[in-house]
Amino acid sequence: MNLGRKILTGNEAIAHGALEAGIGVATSYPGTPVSEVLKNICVYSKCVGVRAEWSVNEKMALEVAAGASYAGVRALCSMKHLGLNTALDSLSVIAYTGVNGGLVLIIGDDPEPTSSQTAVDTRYHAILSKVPCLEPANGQEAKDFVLEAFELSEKFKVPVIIRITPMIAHSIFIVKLGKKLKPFRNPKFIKDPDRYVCMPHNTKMLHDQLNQKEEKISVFFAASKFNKLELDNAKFSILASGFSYNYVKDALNILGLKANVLKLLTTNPIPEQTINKLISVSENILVVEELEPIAEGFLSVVAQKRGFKGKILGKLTKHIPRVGELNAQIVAGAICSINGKKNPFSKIKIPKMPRTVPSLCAGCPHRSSYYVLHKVLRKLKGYNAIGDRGCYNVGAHPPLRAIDACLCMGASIGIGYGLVAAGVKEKTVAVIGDSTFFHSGITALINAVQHGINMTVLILDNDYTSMTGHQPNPGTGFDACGRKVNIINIEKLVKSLGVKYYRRADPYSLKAAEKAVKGAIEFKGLSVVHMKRECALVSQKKINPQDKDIKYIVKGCRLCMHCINTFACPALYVENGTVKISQWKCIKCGVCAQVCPFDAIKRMNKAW
Amino acid sequence: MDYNIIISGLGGDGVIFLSKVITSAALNQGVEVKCYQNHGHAKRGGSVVAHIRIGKNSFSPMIPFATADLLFSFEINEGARYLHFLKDEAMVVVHHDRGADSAQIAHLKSSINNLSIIDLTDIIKSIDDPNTRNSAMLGFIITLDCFPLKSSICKDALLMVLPKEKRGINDAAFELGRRAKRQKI
Ligand SMILES: Cc1ncc(C[n+]2csc(CCOP(=O)(O)OP(=O)(O)O)c2C)c(N)n1
Repeated sequence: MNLGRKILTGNEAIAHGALEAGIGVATSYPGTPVSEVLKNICVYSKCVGVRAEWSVNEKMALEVAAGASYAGVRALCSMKHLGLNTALDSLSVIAYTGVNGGLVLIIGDDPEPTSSQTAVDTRYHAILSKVPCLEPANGQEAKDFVLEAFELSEKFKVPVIIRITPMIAHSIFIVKLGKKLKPFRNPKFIKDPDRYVCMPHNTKMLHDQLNQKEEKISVFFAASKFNKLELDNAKFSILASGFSYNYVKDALNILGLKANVLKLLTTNPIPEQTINKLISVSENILVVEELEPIAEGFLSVVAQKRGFKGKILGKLTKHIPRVGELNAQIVAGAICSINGKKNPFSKIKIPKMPRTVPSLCAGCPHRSSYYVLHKVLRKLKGYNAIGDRGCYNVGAHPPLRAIDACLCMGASIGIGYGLVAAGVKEKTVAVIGDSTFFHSGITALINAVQHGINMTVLILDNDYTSMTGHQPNPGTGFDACGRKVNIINIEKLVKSLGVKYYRRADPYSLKAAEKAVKGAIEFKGLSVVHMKRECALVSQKKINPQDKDIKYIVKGCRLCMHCINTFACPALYVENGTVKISQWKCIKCGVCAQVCPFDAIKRMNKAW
Repeated sequence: MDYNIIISGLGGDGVIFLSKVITSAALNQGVEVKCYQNHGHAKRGGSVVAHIRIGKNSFSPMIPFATADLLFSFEINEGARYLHFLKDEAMVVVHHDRGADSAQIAHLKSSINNLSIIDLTDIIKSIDDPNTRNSAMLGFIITLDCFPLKSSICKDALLMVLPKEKRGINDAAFELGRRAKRQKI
């Protein structure tokens, strides 16, 4: 009955689609919402036949995938929308050279955003680099589109983007699966300098070729099954782009209203013929699309060309908000206001509940590093602590308030450098995680060392890319398939640049770590403190059986609140006039015992 | 009409686990299903919620406001957080340890017509494993008249996703939940 039908998340469906398409190479750098694509490619393929890797950053991931494609092998590259910012330089030129084996990019946008620093719209990247963009609206399409995208990529010799959002990536759907295909393996790079050596004399020709491809793809899309115009004998029409199709259908069902709906799943290039058809059956058209009003703008242009008399409504007309992720309520509200209907959702009150503020985990080594750093910094007249991306940016929340700024991957050192370059007198400290350091912090450090900048860099090394689910990075020692690989030694790397002050410290040993940080802050020149301790979520799974008998308890608490206010481990709480330790949350790192000024936190073993 | 379910709780409660069980039960029963999961900060004990939509007329995995038929929650506040998703006649089941904060319960009582408050800790007290709470919750939920999936299919789906050594105690917890008297407050 359910032959081949499975329940899968969108990410799992995509991973399966990639194996059905016979990919030979899969690359990625972790990022919500698409981190599980590569993970599941490894799970489903058992890493047999597919070369899967977590690359050092997204630019690298894309270049490795493109190289494989040049050699005739199908390659899949996944990253979050912000990763494509990093890889855009490469993508725009790979679009010029074109591909051989299919090259498909899975890009996860975050319209709300729930786990990103900005909500950029990947369709603009597709437009900028002139590559086609497909947007599946459910799990089945997510899987099927991967196969279609590889065909498309090889037919027109272009990279293809599949744009998804968390709503597809993390939701579960029933998906009908197909057979996995044996990866094509007969790699050969056929030299073709006119194509691969991109220099001004030939890029003009490549540019022209790409423009022609774009026109052909638009015609191909117009005739394809990707887009569907569902006529409902109505005058009012809705252009529903990608996943928003679901909100449109749900809203129309709830309201009991009729509308013609264009399900538009080829969002770059948008086929003009398809838009013409929509215009010819409509009086007014509402455009529903996640993030920027791109289809709305295109529709307006085509409408004007065709002398369309009706209205084009959407984000530009403020019928739909331009900020945040869409939902059925928002779409229903827009439909109601346009059609003069009462909005059934306008009366509904959203309960006011306290927001849960995320905090660093119990036993997190980052908390100890921050504790030490701020103990030293507080004694200075002033300081600026510039953070970076990773779990440690959670330390920006009260009560720690450990960092003053946090931008994009690897920016801490550059921004800190900028403050110093501008002449800011206070001490500047950059705080950066290990994965982020390898991703793009290293280039910033090279720049700072070269120019002899006086600042301190704190590398918070917890062995993993923890924020996104503990993927390995170049310092971890194993790869995406769990195989042992070379470890890039941060100490040797930093010293080789000529950094004069380098200290390695264990954030669980507060005194020694404080000494290392104090020395770094007082040092004139560029100083690096390398805080090394495995992520607590990983280490707590490996608690030594002997340690099971160990317990930290509070005895003789004077309620000075130092631990609660400046350390704030979630395992500590106040009850009945004393600080207590939640034995359920505590991972027995023992750092709070070093934090307590009155030695009231004690280590006990079973005898107790 | 489709049947819409919201499951909520905190990281570690088993919300995502149960949503997977119910979704695969629906698949096994041969009905259409989709499920939205939000577990942003689950590892850090934050809010976790799952939406399940059973039937072939719904599109988005996310349930629109005022259309959920059933909400069950492992925590009072995490239940109260999603009241705007409920239909007027929706069924609500909330776990609460005895010695309850009466203000919160009073608030729920005043806003919900069909409310059941159950004490899972009490229900599974004969089993020495708090992790079986969600199996007991599922056992309780399937006894509701409105619940659209067959109890045997749900139980099979539950046992299927568990490792062999955990099946015995979870089976027991499921049965305890199924037999628990509905305690209307
Ligand atoms: C360009 C880009 N890629 C990926 C991400 C997603 N992301 C956020 S933090 C992070 C890395 C965290 O790793 P690390 O620096 O080791 O810190 P940890 O979380 O382990 O403390 C990633 C990959 C992003 N925000 N931007």
